[in-house]
Amino acid sequence: MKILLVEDDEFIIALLTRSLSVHHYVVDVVKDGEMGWTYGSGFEYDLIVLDVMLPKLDGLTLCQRFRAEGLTVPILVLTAQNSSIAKVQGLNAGADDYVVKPFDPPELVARIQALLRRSSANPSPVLEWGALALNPSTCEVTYNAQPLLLTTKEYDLLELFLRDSHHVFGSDEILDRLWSSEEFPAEATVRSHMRRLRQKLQGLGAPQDFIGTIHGRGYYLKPIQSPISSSPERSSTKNLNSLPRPPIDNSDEQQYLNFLNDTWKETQLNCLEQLTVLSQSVQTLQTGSFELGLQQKAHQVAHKLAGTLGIFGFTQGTQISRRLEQILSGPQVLSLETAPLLATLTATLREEIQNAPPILAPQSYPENAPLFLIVDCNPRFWDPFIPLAAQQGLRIAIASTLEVAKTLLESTPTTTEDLASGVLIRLSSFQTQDKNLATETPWAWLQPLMSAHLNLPFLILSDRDNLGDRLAVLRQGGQFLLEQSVTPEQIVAHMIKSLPQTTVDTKIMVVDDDCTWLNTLPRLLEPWKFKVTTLADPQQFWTVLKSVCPDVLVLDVKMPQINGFELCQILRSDPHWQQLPVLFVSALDDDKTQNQAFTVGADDYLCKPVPGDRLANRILNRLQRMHSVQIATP
Amino acid sequence: MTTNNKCVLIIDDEETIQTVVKFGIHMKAGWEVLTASSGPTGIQTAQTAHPDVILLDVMMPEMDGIATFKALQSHPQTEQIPVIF
Repeated sequence: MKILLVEDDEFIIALLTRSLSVHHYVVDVVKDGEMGWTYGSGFEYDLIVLDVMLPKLDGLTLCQRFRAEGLTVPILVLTAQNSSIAKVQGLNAGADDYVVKPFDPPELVARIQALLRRSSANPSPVLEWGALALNPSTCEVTYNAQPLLLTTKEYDLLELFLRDSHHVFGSDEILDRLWSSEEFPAEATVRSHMRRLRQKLQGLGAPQDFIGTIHGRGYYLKPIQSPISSSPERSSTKNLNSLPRPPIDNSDEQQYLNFLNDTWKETQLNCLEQLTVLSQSVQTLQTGSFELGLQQKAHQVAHKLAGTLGIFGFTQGTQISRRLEQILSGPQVLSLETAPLLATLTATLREEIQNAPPILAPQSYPENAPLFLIVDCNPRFWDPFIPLAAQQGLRIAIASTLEVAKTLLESTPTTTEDLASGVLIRLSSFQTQDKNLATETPWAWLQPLMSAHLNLPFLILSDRDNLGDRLAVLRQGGQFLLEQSVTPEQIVAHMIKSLPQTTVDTKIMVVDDDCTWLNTLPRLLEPWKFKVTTLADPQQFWTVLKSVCPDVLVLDVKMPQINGFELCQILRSDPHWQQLPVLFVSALDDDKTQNQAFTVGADDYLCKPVPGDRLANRILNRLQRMHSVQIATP
Repeated sequence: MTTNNKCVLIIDDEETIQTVVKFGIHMKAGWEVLTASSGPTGIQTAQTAHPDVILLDVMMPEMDGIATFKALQSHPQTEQIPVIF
């Protein structure tokens, strides 16, 4: 657990640092209010201890500022004033607790522990997970009642997981939370601590995957399987309720699912009946006797089906209905050329409705889990991928025909969750399905699909081991995989590898003396989920840079004491930072300044005012370029 | 009407949607749910029952969601009710 101490009294700093370290807390100390703001708003802490009387910015104003910025971290205020008014002021400023100096260190530590318990997902004084128990007051850890001897960092890691047992912790988050800003450990450090911790747990009989790994996301406490029953009375229920993928034992939820399934049984027939209007439209369109009246009726049916299928959670049926609705929406009567498309979509929709699987509770995936589209008509092929992909934090959607694949890829999803991040096509699936495709090259239909979605990674699984097919896939920017030489596990690994880098958790560091711009920037960039660290004082540049390790740096040109060009030159002179993308954002729009920026090593230059989306796009461009370079350089 | 006992009005011409949403809201939040299958009926219900919020379908035959919304907004009894499309 990491605590920020904002205090200018050296004696109190020494006293508190010692008391808190004994209890395994990592403490960052800053000695004035402004530094308190920089650290508190820039780094993640589990708790902040603030003195009221501070140089530059007083503790209460700082506390108000944290709260105004939406920071919910627990804040404990230290003060020499023992009056009721002072306490009320402190609590009204947003503090969670108030301790009067001189204080008794054990009491202060106990109050800090109580505050941390309150903000923790697991409020019990002893943290438990299956047979594991950790007592933060005594720092004792046991597994199956046997003592587990841990180093400080191993203890810290375990406490972090137990405090937020439903959370998946990435290495960078662990580094942020458990190492002080003065240390600069690498991700490998986390891996080696984790390895030793797992070994010690295993040594006392814990399962090998007691701490699980989600590839590309991080570590988490694996759900404890109860060997006897799933009755809610068992002792570990409290923890099991907050698992990443909880079993459905919630009676409300089960009741809702039963209701949905019963209602669907009644609705399914009605949906199929409504489909006859669409089939009738296809027939009359094919014979050339289609009329606007019927088209409007079919349009209404498609709209109704989209709504109905959507409410039951049938995503593909909904998307096909929406596509039909879109095709049928024009003011003109449809032409004969649209008949084949309308026929295929209607037939696929009928299949979707007839073969709708039982409605299950949505499986819980990590936030922003990418979606991979498998184009294949054979459930025996794609069935194994769903659990395998889920283990890796990847969601799978199936398109049984190419038409459905096109519809899914071309429709505008209502949420970004429905956007496919990649496509897997098994060619042999379509060759056996359609005799014509077996004789001619599959490129006639595959190429347009790939060209229309150049930004998506395509994995092409082929049973024909020849140079021509490999070259054709390569030229379209896809990846060729020989069907008979890859296992489903390997295919899932290829899927993960092919995904574009996510922007979630991309760290952006912004150095600018304009505080208004710094305050608005995190909001402007909010839709892209970047982790934005702002810095107003260029003199703190090096310390913050090393601590944040940003993926992109945004610099202002004109700043007091050290200007942006100097910062960029300092950065580029260090081999470690030569590849870091640097964007200048400045009010200076003359050619000379811009040329100078590129001379000192800038990657891009934008003139203020800059809309959020433009800045985000430029940042994404730089990240994409970096990513392509990394892939190209083995 | 107490703050915990909210009332939601669903205006949607699809009966299945009404049923499922009604069940879901009632089960999850315990709120009262009223339904109406067309714009005019919905407006009438809103005027008499004063729901806390209205869920309104955009595409409905005869009077669509937009026209219904405008009618709700022009009436002093219903203009304050939040509407979610």
